Amino acid sequence: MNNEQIFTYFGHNTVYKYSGSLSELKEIQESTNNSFNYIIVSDVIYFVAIDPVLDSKAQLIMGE
Amino acid sequence: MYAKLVVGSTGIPAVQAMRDIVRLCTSNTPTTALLGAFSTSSSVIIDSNPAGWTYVGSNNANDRPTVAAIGVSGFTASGSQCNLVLSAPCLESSALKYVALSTSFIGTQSATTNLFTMTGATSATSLGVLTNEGPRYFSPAANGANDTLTVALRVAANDVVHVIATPRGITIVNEGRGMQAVWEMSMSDVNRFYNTAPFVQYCHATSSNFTAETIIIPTSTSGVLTRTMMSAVFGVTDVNTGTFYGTYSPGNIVSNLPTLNIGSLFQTANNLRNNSINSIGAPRYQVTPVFLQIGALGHPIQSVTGTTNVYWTRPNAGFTGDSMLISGDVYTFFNCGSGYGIALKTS
Repeated sequence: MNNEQIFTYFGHNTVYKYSGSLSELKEIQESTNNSFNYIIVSDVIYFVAIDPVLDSKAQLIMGE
Repeated sequence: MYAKLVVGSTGIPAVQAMRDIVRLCTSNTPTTALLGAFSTSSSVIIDSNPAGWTYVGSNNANDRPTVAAIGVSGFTASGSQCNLVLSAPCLESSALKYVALSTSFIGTQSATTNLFTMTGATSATSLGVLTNEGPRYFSPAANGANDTLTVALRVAANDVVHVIATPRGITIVNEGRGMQAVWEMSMSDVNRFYNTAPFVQYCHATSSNFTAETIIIPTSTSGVLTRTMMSAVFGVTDVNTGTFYGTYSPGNIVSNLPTLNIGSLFQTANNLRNNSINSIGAPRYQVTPVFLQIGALGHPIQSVTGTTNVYWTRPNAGFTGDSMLISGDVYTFFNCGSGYGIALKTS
C-alpha cells in the first residue's frame, strides 16, 4: 500500500507513521487515554487516533 | 439472555440506555430491577440465562470500576462521548472479543440525545481506551439536527429494543427498524496461526436502507448520514503480503454498495428470501446462514451461524418473539424492519 491508499483506508482522517514498536505505541496511547486504530505495512506502523498525537516517534504524514 | 426493553412515552438519554444494557449483559441474574432508564413495568426479561459478558470499563469516571448505579446522572462532559466496554471469551481462541457501546452525540445527554452504537475492538483498557475499534458514527452537532440518522441505534419515545446476548455475541434489535451486532464466527487456520479472535461487527441500524458507509474507523460529521450499513472484522493479516489490518471491511464497498466476497453478511436488498415450498407443495419460510469470506486477504470462508446461533429471515416472517423451527431447533424471530428479519437462539 502506498500513502494514498493508506489515507483512503483510514477514511481520509489524520494518519501518523510510527517509528517505534507496537508496544511503545500502545503504552503512549493508553497513558494519554487516546483510542487508536492501526495497520502494519511492510513492518511500518500507520495509525489514526481519536485525539491528536504528540510524540517524537509519531510523524504526521497525511491529513491535518 | 433475551431482554425486551421498552422506552415508554419519553425518550431515553443514550448513556442511560447503554448502562441498562450493560448491567443486563454482565449480570448473573438479569432482571428488570437492573433497569434505570427503560420502563421496568413494560420491559421483560424473556430469557434470564446469564449472557456471560464481563465489564471492562469506560472513558467516563462515573462508570468505573463498575457501571454507574441507577440514578447517577447521565454523561455530561461536552466535547466528548461516553463508552461502556465489555469482553467475552471465544470458543477456541485465547484472545477475547471486545464490545463497546458508545453515545452517538457529543455533549450533554438528554432525553433527545438518544442515539448510540455498538462496535467491536481488538483490545480495551478499563479507562475505555480502545485499540482497533470498528466503524461507528458520532455527531458533533445537536442531536435534534440528526433525528433521522440511519446509522445508530435509537431509544426515542415508544422505541422497543431487544437485546439478545450469549457468550458468542450481542445482538441489539431496534424493533421494526434495524439491528447491530457483534458475532463470533468459526475459527480459521489463519486465526489459529495469528491467535486472533474470530468475530465480526455488523451494523444495519435501518434495514430498509441498503447502502453502506465506507468509514472503517470512528468518524464524525455535522451532517445527517443517509447510508446505514457498516461492518468490520478485527486484527486480520493479509497472509500473502504480511499487511496487518486492525479493522477491515469484509465487503468490497463500491459506490456505497457492498459487493464481492461477503457471503451472506451484507443484506443488499429488501427481502431476499421469498417463501418456498416443501416436497408436497406446502409453504415454508426460507432462512439463510450468516457467513463471510475475507478472500482478498487469503482467509477462508468463516461461518457465523453454527458458532453464534443466528439466521437471516425474510421481513415480517412473524411477530418478534415468535418461535421458528429451523432444522429441528427452536429459534426466536426478531423483526428488524422492512429489509429482513433474524432468528436467534437467546441462550
